[in-house]
Amino acid sequence: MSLWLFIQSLIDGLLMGGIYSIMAIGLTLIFGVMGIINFAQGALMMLGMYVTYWAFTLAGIDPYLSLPLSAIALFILGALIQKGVLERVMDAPDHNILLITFGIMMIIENTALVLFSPDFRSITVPWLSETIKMGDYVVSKPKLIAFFISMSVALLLYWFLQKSYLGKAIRGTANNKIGAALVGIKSKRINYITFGLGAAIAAIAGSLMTPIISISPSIGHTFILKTFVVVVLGGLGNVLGAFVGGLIIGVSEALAGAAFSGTLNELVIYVIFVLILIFRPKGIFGGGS
Amino acid sequence: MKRLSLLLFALFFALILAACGESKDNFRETDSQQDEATEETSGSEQVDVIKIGSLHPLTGPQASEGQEMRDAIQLAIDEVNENGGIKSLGGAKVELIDSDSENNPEKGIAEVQTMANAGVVGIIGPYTTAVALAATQEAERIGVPFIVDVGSADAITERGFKYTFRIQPPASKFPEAFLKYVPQLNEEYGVELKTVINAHEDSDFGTGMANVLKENAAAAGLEVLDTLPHPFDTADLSSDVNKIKAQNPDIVSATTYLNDGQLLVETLIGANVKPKAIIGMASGAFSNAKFIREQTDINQYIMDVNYAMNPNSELTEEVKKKYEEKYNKGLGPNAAISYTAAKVLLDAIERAGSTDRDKIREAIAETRLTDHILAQEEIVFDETGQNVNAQPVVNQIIDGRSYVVMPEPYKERDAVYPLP
Repeated sequence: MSLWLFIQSLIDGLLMGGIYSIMAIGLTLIFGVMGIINFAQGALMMLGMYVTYWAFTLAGIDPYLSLPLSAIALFILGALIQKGVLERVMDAPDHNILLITFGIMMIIENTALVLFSPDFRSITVPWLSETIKMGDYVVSKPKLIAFFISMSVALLLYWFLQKSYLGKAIRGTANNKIGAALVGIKSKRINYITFGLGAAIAAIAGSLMTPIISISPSIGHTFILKTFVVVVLGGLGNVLGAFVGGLIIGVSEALAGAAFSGTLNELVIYVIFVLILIFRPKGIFGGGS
Repeated sequence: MKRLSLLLFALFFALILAACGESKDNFRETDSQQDEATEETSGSEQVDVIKIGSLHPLTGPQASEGQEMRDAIQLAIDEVNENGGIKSLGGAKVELIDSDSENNPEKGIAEVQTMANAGVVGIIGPYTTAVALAATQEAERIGVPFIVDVGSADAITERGFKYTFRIQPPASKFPEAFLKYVPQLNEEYGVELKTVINAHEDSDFGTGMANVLKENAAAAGLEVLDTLPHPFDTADLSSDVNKIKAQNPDIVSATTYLNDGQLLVETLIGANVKPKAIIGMASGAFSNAKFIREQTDINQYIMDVNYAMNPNSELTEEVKKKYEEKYNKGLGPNAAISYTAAKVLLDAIERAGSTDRDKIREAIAETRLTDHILAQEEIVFDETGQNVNAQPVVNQIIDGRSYVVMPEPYKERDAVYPLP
């Protein structure tokens, strides 16, 4: 591998890793607080993509301007899913809840299939199409923007969880549900907010990806497995771990792709996955937030 | 964790049980259905409705192509029905039994059984090799004629099956055509494009073609610098594109489905990689009607070695127009193949004058269809069931339309080669 190929792959991997990070943060947040492995995370991401797609196609709204729109829409949907479905089964065994989120995923995807048709759709944003050149190296504009927005969202979320009252309440609930309830934290409300936040973060990841790839109702599948790998790598429930994990997976994928082939880079990721499960089952940064 | 694995085991077990029960039921139904079918066909041929089946991916990542193909079959059926149905069967109307393969071989087998039970006299499908191999095997077992419209692996027609026919050229013909036409293009346009990097999706479809290309390139005076496989549902092709950039080939060739093909081109442009030609082999993107029409920012002068409609035939124009009016989308080459498959089957039913599956199979085997829309001579099947005259041609996208640029007599206009 030449130096050029190595560095260019490193850049591409890091940028892609930003997207994996933010996807994983949404998933790990929900798990950390509520103990739910949300299979529907990829489907929620897909809905975020369609919000951005339609806002751009129908109203000409720039994808980054529709970002808050898709985040808010999915926050509401997430909170409603929690209130309407998951809240009723919060006491059920974990695997039941896992299967329910799987069901929610199927419902969302098939509804999207009916509403949006299975066609692949993509948007072309004129000001994003030029690439940034730094000597021999090229950086795709939408990927760079996606990376910075992901970083900002991750930092914002970290600050929110550490410093704000609500964030502390969320962490409190994650640590000790009964204890939190005893000091007057309404755990139901915390759950709505947490699931809503998780969904909104998935939507942000989706909106950021919309200018980069073609979207379709089943696009979530491309991301969800990788997201699980990142979450396990970073430690289930560990927000910072998920962030770093995403970058690690993005870079290893790109470097493996450069050194071997586009088929083998997936293999490398799952080898990492299995190795972590064997040697560091709590993730490289340990669990918890 | 223990409870989870216990549950998964229970689930798995339940699935197996359900599957067994289902297939038993299916066999029972198949038997009784066959009895019925024999009763029906043994007497005089008084039928009101003739059913033919479509097996295509209608959901999932391949769904948009699958639906286009199904619609094309419906169009062919409508044409027959509007013109008085199947005349040799007293003007019986033809009905389409629609099924979704989900691009899953097991589902494909189940759907073949279901459609056979519903009494179809022939099935058209399925778009992907994996489903084609499985579904034709089941059709062979039951004894239903199965016309493979699109499904590329050579093996599909190489297993000695009686009931399997195929319209599209087999996979190996595409790299062969690539290696035949690229030197011709070089000569005709006075350039020397010699080095190739081939990016392909990593199932049998892309890998098979990649191997043929690699093995035979030297004999055609070309050099394959590198071969880059990727999964068709990939979200990122930058590492492949980086490798292309590092090796700087004259030609980037590609065998892809729709979204990965589009992503490849976008990533090439994004990375400022400018090969002297981008040439697909049976690309699901570069010959896709939507990609051709809508992605004009990125698709200018991309070529594809692929089967095509005969552009210099009035019939093609007519069918294209009807399809667009009816479905509000363009007729792509895949859908054109499905349309042709339906024409072949309907023609065979007419000639057979019967709904007996074996008689229809005989009639398909004797097909001599000259009045069709594909860029090839008459449609004739060899003893393996392959449409022997099927051939890929070189298409090029120019200003949001695909033109045949090689060979005669299908050529519509000169190629832009190499890329300006």
